[in-house]
Amino acid sequence: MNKVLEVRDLTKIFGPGCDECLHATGLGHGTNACPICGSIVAANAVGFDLFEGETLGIMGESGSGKSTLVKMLYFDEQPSTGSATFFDDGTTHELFSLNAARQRWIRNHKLGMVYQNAHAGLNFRISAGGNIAERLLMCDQLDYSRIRQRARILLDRTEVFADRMDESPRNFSGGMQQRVQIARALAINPPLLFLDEVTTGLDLTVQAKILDLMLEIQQQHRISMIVVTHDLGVVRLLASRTIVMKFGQVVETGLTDQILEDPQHAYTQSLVASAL
Amino acid sequence: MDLLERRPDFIVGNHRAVLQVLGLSKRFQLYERGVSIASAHEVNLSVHKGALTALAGPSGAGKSSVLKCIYRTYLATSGSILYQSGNGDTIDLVAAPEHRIVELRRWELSLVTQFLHCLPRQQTIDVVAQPLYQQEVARSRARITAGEILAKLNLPERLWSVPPATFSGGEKQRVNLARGLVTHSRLLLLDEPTASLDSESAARAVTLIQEAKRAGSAVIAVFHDATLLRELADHVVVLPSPAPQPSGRQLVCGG
Repeated sequence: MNKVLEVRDLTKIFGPGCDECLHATGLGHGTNACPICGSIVAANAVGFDLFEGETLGIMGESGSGKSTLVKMLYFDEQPSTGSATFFDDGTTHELFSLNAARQRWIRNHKLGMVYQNAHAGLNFRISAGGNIAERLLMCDQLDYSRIRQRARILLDRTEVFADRMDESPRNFSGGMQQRVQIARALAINPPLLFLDEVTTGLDLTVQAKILDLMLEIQQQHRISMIVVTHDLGVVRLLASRTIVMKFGQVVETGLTDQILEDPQHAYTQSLVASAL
Repeated sequence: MDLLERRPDFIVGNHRAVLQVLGLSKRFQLYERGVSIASAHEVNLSVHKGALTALAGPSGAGKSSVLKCIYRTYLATSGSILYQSGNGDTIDLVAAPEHRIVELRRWELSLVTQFLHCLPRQQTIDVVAQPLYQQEVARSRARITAGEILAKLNLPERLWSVPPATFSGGEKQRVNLARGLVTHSRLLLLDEPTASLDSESAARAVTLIQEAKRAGSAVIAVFHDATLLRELADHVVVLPSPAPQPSGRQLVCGG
């Protein structure tokens, strides 16, 4: 199994930060706010590996730092310290040592992101098809009719009516907006896809359809995914391995069925026991 | 039962054993309740290519826990589980990195639990073909293979395109068993695979398990039925009741 991503000691502190931040926060202290300087430790020396074709779940409650983690990997946030190594077709990229232009290139050509909030992932001033075209243009595909055809195929696959591709995503329901986001993220066939709470806030039937779409993508492409969620059901369905986070720290990591059936840590046990 | 024997017949260094379980114990530490629950205790067993080792013992002795520890759904508390993989490596399933276990589950290891867990909304034929899809067998080919095994287990063809959610217990169990057997795993773990089957379906299940043995699978199984055990088992390992703890509150569960 080839490694796609190697994350080590990834740390993000919001605020001035001090020498005590990492030692005075976390699970043992019951907070992610530093009592000395008041900074928020969103990620505290997080490390993990991701393998080719694998879906890794990152599970935790709000404020656990799980979203910050993928936002750093997608270059939306700058880490305070730590490294992430991306292995792509025999090339190795030290993601946080690259200059801004190279980071943008990696993001446009190799990564996909689906946000919880469609406003973060889509441009509402242009059409649904335009959102997909934008992604293809950033990836140096310039032929108008081919772009349009690709957008049509992607929207079809994600069950957005392709005859509505010229409408703004503003006119779409939440579930459809999520599907346009997924179509946009998949447009360039990225080897690495991040999904941040993609089903949160959607109706149950819509959640089911989005999850089925994710499963289909998983089965038909050798795409590696990181799925961030607070929902045990989502990791159970999608992830082969799961990381549990709390107060910026990794509490426990294991095979998903082991995390759910034989959780080792007191926090994970209470989390699993609270599932509906 | 003349097959029963107190001690497993494993020989250390016997290269033919596909799996050797050595001194395996499992306890559950439940923090919220402040209790520790004893399950399997100091289990030793081995299983060979083309043979079936049955786990017997009273309820609560940890038979299912042993299977789940081998599959790594449970983390063993102590002991080791040495697996000889198809490429000749010896892997301790207790300590191997998770991605290695994911690979083994995909290519060599199957667990059939007492209850069917599968993706919702998926047609039965796809539930059964799923392990083949994961091995990147073409979908049409995988569905044919899945259909063949469902037919052998006597599941009516009209049910194949329906998700198993509404099936009876016996129908679900046949789907479960079909999915477990479809890839001809090198190591097959069966937890009461015939518990809710009628005698006709149970007989077909026995035939399929015998076929799996002949095809070279090593099988570890828990049976509720002594007749089946006699029919299928090459070795029987009896797990004792969990030993009482010297101090502290203690509960017993598992089976």
